[in-house]
Amino acid sequence: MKRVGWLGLLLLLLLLPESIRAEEEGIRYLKALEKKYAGLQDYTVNVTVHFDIETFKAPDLQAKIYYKVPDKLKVESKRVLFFPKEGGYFNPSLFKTEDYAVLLLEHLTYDGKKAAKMRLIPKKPKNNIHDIVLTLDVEQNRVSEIKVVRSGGGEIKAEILYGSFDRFELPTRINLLLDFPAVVPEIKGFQPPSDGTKRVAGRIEMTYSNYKVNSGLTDEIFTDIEPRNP
Amino acid sequence: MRLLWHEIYKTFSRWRTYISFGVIALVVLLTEVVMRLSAGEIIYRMMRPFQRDFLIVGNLLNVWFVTAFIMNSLHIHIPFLITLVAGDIVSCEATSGTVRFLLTRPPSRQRILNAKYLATLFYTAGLVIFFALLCVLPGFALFGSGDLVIHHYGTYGIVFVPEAEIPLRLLLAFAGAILSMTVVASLAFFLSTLAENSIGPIIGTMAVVIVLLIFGTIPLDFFRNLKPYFFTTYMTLWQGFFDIPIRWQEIGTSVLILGLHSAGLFLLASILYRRKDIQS
Repeated sequence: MKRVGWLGLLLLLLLLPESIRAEEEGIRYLKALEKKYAGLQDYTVNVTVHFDIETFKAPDLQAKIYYKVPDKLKVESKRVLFFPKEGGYFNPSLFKTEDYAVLLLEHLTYDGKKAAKMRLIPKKPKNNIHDIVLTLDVEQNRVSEIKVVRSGGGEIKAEILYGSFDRFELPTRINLLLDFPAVVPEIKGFQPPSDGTKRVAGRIEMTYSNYKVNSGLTDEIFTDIEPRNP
Repeated sequence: MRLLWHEIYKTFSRWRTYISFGVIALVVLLTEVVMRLSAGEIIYRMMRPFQRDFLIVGNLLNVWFVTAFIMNSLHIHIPFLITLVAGDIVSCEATSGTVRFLLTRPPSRQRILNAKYLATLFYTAGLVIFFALLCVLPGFALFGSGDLVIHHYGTYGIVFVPEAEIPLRLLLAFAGAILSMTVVASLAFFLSTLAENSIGPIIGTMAVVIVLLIFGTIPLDFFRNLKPYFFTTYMTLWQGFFDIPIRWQEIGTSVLILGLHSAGLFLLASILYRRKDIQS
C-alpha cells in the first residue's frame, strides 16, 4: 500500500510540470490572440442570418451590429430578428486569460494550418457555460472554432471564416451548429401532450459584410442595451 | 331579395343582435389596451423559451401579432355570440306568435327559410368582419406594423411571416373564420327550426360545441379516434394560413368538411321545416 502511494506521488511529480507547461502554452496562445486584437476598439458590420433549424420557419434576415470593447453590443434591425446570443458576433475580448482556467488539449492541423485545441473553464459562473473548447489557428493567431458546452447539456459550435478589414482579421462568416435541449414550458391542465420539439438541432449561418472598424462609436449608441456575453 | 333584406332588417332591429357586437367591441378593445400597457410582460412570457439563446430585436408586438393572439383566444367563444341570433331567427316567429301570419303570405316556406338562413349568414359574416376590423384598425394605431412571429405554446419553434404577406393571409384567415362560424350558425339555425322558443336552440348549440371541444381535447385514445368526426376539429382552419408553407391540403379538407356540415344542416332544416305542422 505504501509502495502504491509513493508511485502515485512520483507520477504526479512527473506529470505536474507537463500540465503546468500545457497551461502556460495555452495562456501564451490566448495572450497572442489578445495582443493581436488589442487595437480593435469598435466595429459596425452588416449581418445576414440564415436559419436552418426545422422548427424555425424564418426567411433570411438582415441586421446591423454595433460592437465596442469590452462587451458592448447593439443589434439593429428594421424587422423582427432572432439573433444568437452565443457565437452571433465576434468579441475578441471574450477570451481573457484571467477569466478562465486553461487546459491545452492537443496540437492539430485545422483547415491545413497548425492549430491548438484548448479547454477554457470559466473561473466565475458565466451564463449557462460549463466550458469552452477553443481551436486556435496558431499560425495566424485567430479563433477557428469555438465549442460552448452548456451546463444543462447540449453544445453550440461556431466555425469561423475570416477576411481582412482595416488590418484586422474579422469574421466574414460564422456557422453555428446547435444541439441542445429546448426549454419548453409544460402545458398544464386538460390538454393533449405537445408533439413539439424537445431538442433543438440545426444550423444558423451568419454572413458579415461592410465592416467599419474603429470609427469611434460613442457609448450613447449602446444606452438601454445591457452588456451581453456571447 | 326583398325577403332577404326584410329578414336582415328584422334581425338588426332587435337589440339582442347588438349584444354580440358590444361584447366583441368590449373584449377586443380592452384586450388591446391591456396588451399595450403590459407589452413587456407579454413579450417576456411569449419569448421566454428563446431568451436564453437569442437576442430578440424588432417590433414583435405589432398589430398582426395582436390580431392573431386575439383570434387564438376568442375562436372558442365567438360561436356562442353567433348562436344568440342564429338560434333565434326562426323560433322567434313562434315565440312572438307571428309564424302563422308569416307562413300564410305568398312566399313559400322554403323561400322564407332561405331568406332567414341568408340573413343568419349575413349576421355571422358581419360579426366576424366587425371583429377583424376591431382587431386591425385600433391595433395599427396602438402597436404599428411589422413581421408576424408566431410561437406555438409548448414547442420550441417559431413561424415568421413577412409583413408583406400578412394582409392577404389575414384576409384568407378571416374568410376561414367566417366559414367556421357558418357551421355553428347552421347548427343553431337547424335547432331553431325545431323549437318554439329561442332558449333551446341557443343552449343546445352551445352544448354541442362545448361537448365536442372538450372531447376533442381529452388525451385518451377513444376521443382521439373520434376527433376527426367532430366539426369543431376543423374550425381552426384559419390557423393554417399563418404557417409556412400555408397548409393548403389541411385547409382544403377543413373547407370541404365545414361546407358539407353547413349545407347538410341547412338541408335538414329545410326538410323538417317544410313538413312541420304549425299549430300555434
